[in-house]
Amino acid sequence: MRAGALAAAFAASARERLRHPIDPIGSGIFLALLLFIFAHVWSAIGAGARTAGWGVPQLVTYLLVTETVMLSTSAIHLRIASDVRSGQLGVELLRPVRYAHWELARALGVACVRVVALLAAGLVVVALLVGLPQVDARGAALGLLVMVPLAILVESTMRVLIGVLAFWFEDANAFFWIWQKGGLLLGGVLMPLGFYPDWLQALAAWTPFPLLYFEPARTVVAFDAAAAGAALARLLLWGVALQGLLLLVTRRACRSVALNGG
Amino acid sequence: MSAIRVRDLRKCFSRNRRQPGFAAALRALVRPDSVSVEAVRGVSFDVARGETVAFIGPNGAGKSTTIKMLTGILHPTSGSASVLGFTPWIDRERLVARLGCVFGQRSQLWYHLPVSETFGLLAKVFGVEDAAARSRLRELVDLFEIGDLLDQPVRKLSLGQRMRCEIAASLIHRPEAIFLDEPTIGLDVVARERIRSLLVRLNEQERVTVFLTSHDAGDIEHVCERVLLINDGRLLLDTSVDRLKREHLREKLVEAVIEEPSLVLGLDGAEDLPSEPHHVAIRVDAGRVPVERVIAEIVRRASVRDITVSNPSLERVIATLYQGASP
Repeated sequence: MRAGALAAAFAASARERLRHPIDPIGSGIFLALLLFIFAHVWSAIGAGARTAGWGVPQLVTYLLVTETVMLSTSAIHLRIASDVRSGQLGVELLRPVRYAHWELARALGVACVRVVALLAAGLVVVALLVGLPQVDARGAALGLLVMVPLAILVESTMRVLIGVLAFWFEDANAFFWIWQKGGLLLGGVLMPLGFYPDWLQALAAWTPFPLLYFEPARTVVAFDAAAAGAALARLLLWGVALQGLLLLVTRRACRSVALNGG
Repeated sequence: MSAIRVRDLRKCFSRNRRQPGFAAALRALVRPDSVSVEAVRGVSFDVARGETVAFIGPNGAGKSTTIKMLTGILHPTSGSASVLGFTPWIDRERLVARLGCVFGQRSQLWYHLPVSETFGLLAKVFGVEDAAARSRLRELVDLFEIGDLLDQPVRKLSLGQRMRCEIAASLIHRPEAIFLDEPTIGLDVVARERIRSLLVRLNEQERVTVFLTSHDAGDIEHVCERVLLINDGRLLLDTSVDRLKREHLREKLVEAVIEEPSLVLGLDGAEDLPSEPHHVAIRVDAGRVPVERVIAEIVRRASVRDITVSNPSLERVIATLYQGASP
């Protein structure tokens, strides 16, 4: 029953997004704009010469993959915090499924629609601006079909976890701000980690951020089977660890929550 | 057998006190000033299976907090409760599979989806088989007359239509008990009447235990057979609706149409109310002066064309109880 319920929540969430398509369309337009700007930035500074064979098409495609992970993941923490403040959380807890899994299923339903819209819009823009780079088909398949969905799952798990902190603090924005900026900087969202000084790369390696952004994008753009396999294994480990942490934190949060209103 | 059994249930919240001013805000960062607020103070009661109970009280009395504990949303500070055999805050997921809940100011329907899709989703969530869900949906569509609403997105429904769909949605899995927190709030007279009739039919046809909070005396009078009054976190009254009306209806309203332009009785225990010319309206405290004496006095002092004696509404009885219950 539980898996069926979560599958139904995932599907309903995706259907709802399709019936109200302004959100994925808006995300697609934003990504197109971002790619347009960065394609011109990379061209202007001639980055291709400085990054071990990565030309402008590779760098723009890299940005497409990292931004797809970041923009596909819905701002679920904002909705959870809003539900806590308004008292709607009371209704959300009245289902015979685990609250954390329910919210995660809903977030993934949204992400499922967004990822298709973002990749479609992004690939067209990349092709028009700089031409599609020559990539290894195995790397593209592994990166886009396995690592990107897994990265979105881990990122969504973290956002639900951040949202659940609102059970205590009624707001989760400060925690999300730290997480998001950590991802932008240490995940190499805007530029590959190879651009960073060694000490910063070493610091990033201790966090999950490169696994969420840099590694899926590198697997698509510059496939290395050994590196991709190691990254995938670490991503899976982080996923399992965060799932456990999410369930633990949610259980404690449900004991402590004080809901407002009638 | 009890559907709901509550013993000495208590809930304390910790609230931060916020003093105005910049200095106070800085102080609060270092040393927050929190105070413990006791929202529910040792409530005990039983509700039998199939019973219809109104749980009433003024704003801030502890009604919603109690309901949230009984549905497993909140953990109590102390005390015990059993709902359909489950401890709500421990077995929340298993309990809600057998429970229906409607919060008048909240929605369980999905805003952008047609009503039928939310019903389908809820059937899956509550593990109702496809064939059983279809048959149940047909029953609910007939009972709630929502056939023409099924294809409409929830955002397009009026409040009355949405509430009918909300209650229907909460029944898709044939719950044994239903908690309703102000289900008629904001509805017009016709929609309120309709919701009440539906709840009565639901209780009669399926013997669903109904636990209702409302500020609307009509909801209580039409739907419930028993009243629990809570105020300041304490249960102050547990009685039947009939008994409540009988025991608290000492007050009568005597109205008469007379030949004379006006009449002021000035009797102790009988309040002369403002009225139109040739009309008399007198609120009688039957404990202090018999109604017969008031009628006799009117007849003696005026030429009466018509006279009626009526009971005050339950609304007024409840208002009186609330005033009496205020700390």
